[in-house]
Amino acid sequence: MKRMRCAGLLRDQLLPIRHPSARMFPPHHIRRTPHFTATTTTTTTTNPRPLSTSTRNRNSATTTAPAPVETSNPNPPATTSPEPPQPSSSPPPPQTAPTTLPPCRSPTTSAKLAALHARLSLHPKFPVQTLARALIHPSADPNPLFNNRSLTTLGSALINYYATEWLLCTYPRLPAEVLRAALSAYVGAKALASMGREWGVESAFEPRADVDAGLLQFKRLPPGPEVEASGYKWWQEKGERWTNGVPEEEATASFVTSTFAGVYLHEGVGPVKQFFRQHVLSRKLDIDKLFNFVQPTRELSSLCSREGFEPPIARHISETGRRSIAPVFVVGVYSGLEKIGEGHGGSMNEARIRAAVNALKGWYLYSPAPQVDLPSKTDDDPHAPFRPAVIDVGEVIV
Amino acid sequence: MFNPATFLRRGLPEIRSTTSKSLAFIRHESNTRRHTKRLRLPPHPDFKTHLTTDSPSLTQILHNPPAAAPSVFVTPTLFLPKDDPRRALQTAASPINGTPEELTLPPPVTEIKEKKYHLTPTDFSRMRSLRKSDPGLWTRRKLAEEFGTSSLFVGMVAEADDERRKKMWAKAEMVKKQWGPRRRNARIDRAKRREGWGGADGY
Repeated sequence: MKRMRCAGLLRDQLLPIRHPSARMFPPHHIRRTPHFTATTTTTTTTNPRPLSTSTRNRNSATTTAPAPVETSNPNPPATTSPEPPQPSSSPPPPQTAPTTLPPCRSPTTSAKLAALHARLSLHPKFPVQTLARALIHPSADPNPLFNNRSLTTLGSALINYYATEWLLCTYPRLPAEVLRAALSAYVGAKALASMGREWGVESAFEPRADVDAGLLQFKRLPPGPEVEASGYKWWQEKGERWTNGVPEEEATASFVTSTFAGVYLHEGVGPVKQFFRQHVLSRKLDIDKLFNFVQPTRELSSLCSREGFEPPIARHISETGRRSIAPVFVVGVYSGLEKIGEGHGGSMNEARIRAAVNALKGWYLYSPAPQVDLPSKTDDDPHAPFRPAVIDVGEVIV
Repeated sequence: MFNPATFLRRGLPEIRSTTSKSLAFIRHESNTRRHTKRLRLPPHPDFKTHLTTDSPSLTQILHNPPAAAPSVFVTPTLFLPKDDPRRALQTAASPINGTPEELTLPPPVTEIKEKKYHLTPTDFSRMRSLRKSDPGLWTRRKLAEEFGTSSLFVGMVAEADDERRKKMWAKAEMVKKQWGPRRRNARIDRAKRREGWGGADGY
């Protein structure tokens, strides 16, 4: 079935969506081989496949699929293949002279792709073809054999797992909301997109057949009012998601995620963990700035009663300029004889509340003293010495 | 004979037209010396540069961080688990080590109230029935005085019914309508600042 669909796409994938007269690039002779499904689809994928985006084309491809089955031999006469029957709604486009594609279209001869490969210090085991595939967003090419959707799925599972385990092991008492915020700050779409920009990935203006293989290829969202979450509605089917195009941020994030999957597949578990440490965990995040307490003093009281500490008492440590325009008060929160938090502010109330906030942050940002081992340590060596993580009872509920 | 210094002294006041008095650059006192002398302070006793018998020469690393607010990433000793190795270190370094009876804690910000726990379930039901009978008369404050507790606690035990709550809400809204723009904006700003104290202002 896939072979048929591929062959059908081969014929009409070059139908431009908006400019039917500007049919520039017929099928060409550049070999594009998917690297993970190659065993099953080698015969079909020797066909050169420039990009196609049209849903209409996809539908027509499925309807007219049986016709070109015979033409999907390993070496199809691309320029002279007979035209399959067209649906009555769309007349056959005018034939133009075959044009050769620029050499940068091929992953092996694209200078940008080689430069990106070198810039990321990827291992030679990581082929440039995978990097080229990671650069093709499903909105540019809906065929799952050629776009990065499967890589994105794998990569997002990997990086979310690594980020979560690192956060949970480093800050075992983190409240759920703060944990979510920290996760999205490390591996959210915005962070990944900024990482992709730092990697120096450039975007193609339009996902056309002749763009450089080292450019990020996706269908741009047309200008207009801002849409929430790239126009994706939860009731929409997955296939309809990219019909209007996607923002550049989402496409860049999908490339970065796919690169992680590529490192995992070609280089292994250890290298992908190192790649994650170097590119994600090396970014600085002020976790203490993610907190926002609504009733800090009350929460601190509940915490102390839950943990069996003495009730917190705010004590006035020092002050300056009480009668001036800019006074500063320093207040400490004490539980018994021990100070558990200190805060300063322009009024006694502000200082008291900030002290309670700092005490709560001191509780939630506890980190085990010798860093505990991440569960993924045993991925490559099941017998490695392992120091389990601290599991906390949970956040305080007021 | 031409003296350039004299020429300069006479010429300058005319150039500096902004000054009313005629000024000349004659230095009666050394400003630099006065100011540097004022800055020449002995180091603070906490500053660990003075040579002692233990460390006659400075071969160790000196760490004298400037005064700053404590970091939230340093977990207080009380919040550390029992088996944490930092617990012993922090206890040894803390000022309350050894002599807790000599330690004087700073004064409390508000008066410390001991909780009395003197109310019984019958008091609670009586409080609720009083509140229900005439919420206008048996307000939270009055009930608090009657039962010797706080108005916050009365609010927790005997909540007002919806009718009373709506009435009081409408009353407050009426009062707020009377406010002019200055008072209204000041209240809005105050509420915003207060929200930021919980950590939202990132400071």
